[in-house]
Amino acid sequence: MKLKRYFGEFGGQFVPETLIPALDELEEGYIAFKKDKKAQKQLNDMLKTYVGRPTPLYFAKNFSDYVGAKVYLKREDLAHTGAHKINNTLAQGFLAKFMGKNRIIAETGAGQHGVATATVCALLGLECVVYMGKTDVERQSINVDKMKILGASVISVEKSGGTLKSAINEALRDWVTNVKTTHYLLGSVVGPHPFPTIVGDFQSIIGKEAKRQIKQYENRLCDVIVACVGGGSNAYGIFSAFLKDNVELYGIEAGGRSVNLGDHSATLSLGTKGILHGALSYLLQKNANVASVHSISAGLDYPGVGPMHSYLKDTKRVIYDYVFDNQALEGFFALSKLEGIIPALESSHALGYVLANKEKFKNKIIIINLSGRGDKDLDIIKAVQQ
Amino acid sequence: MNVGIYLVSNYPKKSMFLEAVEICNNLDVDFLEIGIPFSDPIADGEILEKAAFECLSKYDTQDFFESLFEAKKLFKKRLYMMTYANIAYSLKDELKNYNKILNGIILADLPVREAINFEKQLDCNIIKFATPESRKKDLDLAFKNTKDFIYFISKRGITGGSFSLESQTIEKINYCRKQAKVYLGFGIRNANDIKEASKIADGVIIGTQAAIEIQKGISDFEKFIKSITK
Repeated sequence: MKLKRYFGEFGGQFVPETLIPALDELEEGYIAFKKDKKAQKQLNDMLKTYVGRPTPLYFAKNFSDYVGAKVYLKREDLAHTGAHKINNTLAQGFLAKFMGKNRIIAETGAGQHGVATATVCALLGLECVVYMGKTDVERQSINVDKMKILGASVISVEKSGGTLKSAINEALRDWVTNVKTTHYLLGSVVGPHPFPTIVGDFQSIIGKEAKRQIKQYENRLCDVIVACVGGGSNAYGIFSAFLKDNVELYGIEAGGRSVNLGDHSATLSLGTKGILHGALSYLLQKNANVASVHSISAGLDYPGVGPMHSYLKDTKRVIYDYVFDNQALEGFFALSKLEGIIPALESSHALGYVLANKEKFKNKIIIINLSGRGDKDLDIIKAVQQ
Repeated sequence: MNVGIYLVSNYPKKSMFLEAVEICNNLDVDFLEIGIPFSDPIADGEILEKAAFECLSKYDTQDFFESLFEAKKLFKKRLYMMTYANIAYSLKDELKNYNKILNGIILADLPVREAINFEKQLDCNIIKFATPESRKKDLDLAFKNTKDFIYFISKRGITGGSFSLESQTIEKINYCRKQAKVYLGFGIRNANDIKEASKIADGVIIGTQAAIEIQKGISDFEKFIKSITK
């Protein structure tokens, strides 16, 4: 093995033994894929012409005036399918083909990763099965319709809460049964090694572009970067390029309704160390069982988090904090009304955090990672308004 | 041939679970594997998952552990605990109290390469797995670290279903048996499966079928254990 299995004490491969050869095969396949110049050129061309990269770094003047800081938005919402998820699914789709796997399975919470996976499978002619919790199927129905139009089978998972966690459980069960033919296209920096490393690498394009762009506009780096954290792929995607720079990094989790266990998904802020879905990381748990969690945004409604974030928390390189559902909603409406951009409820947590901390960020140059657009959330917004 | 029964702690309720333990002792079951329910049992099929959820709604983790002590009083032969890595990791200090009554711990989501570190932290014997997917190097790593038996998972997938072995899997089992005792699990349901398994392995573990029988009632469970131990 050539890649590191752990980030400090976090990470590892806590999965049934049956999956170990497949994880090794994935690691070897990924290393070969990265070295293959033809494969990399093909991927880079498609990131440009199909996904629409680089995504703009937009100076949000009205929002800046409102906050009292200089706020730039990294516009991942403008990527094809409306979120950063496509960066990873396109790359993993090519990787699966490179490895000769023709069946793809995926989990999805908000449906953004499911849509991005179904999109890439349509493009590359791969069979696609998406597991989605029943609660999420109901609250993100537009994305379910999209996945079906794109040719994917969507399997609704009723067991253990019916959210993202349940979807990952079922995807892992499918993988352990069909491991010979199937690639598990994981959507975040979670799961057993090498997934966190691979997904983190495929999302690192966000930070590399943002770094180049901010230097171009400001002739220097920004002071602050703010991103929302569920599993943590968009946050790690933008943070990774700045880890060695003098830039303050904030990862914002879902505080949900309250800080009581069961009411939020603020894993790093309020959790303890534990093992879920293949990795040792921070975890929301009670009596060594995984706790139920809540967030207004389906994409953040997850009791675990990527192991590198646990490492970045413990080494104090990144500050992790949370905002409540209503603060995220303030971010959602502020950006919609001030800038004419409807953000995803996930990204609204990052916006809400900046709004709630105007004093701290006064006059600073800030990049907020606008990880997705909010069309998918309109049913939730309508329900809240009633 | 060693026959082991897997019982979910306190399933379907504590009194019936303890009766089942006693029956296994009286009918000369060779070893027991007692499951501590976990909220996210990704290696389990529908029946064992449902059993775990039912127990979690009635009891807490402490109750499941206490039942291990009570089971040990009723069952004279080898006793193993089966659960998931998070339970063992998060409760590692408490777990040390149970080392003396347990012959080993089986963690469904702990592959051999992680088990080696885990064993040091927990100061206990962790059972190593082999599977139809295992390569020679995986099997070699498993023996090298085995003090007891190798738990050979007979098929790709989750617990439950039916028993069958691919020819390549049989070759892998034969290779393992040169180095260590091999017990087969996953999909073994009745006396006939045990007879088939006895041709190639040293023991079997029956889980899902035992849960189905005990759910029907204690006399059905007793009849079932008689049918496989006679």
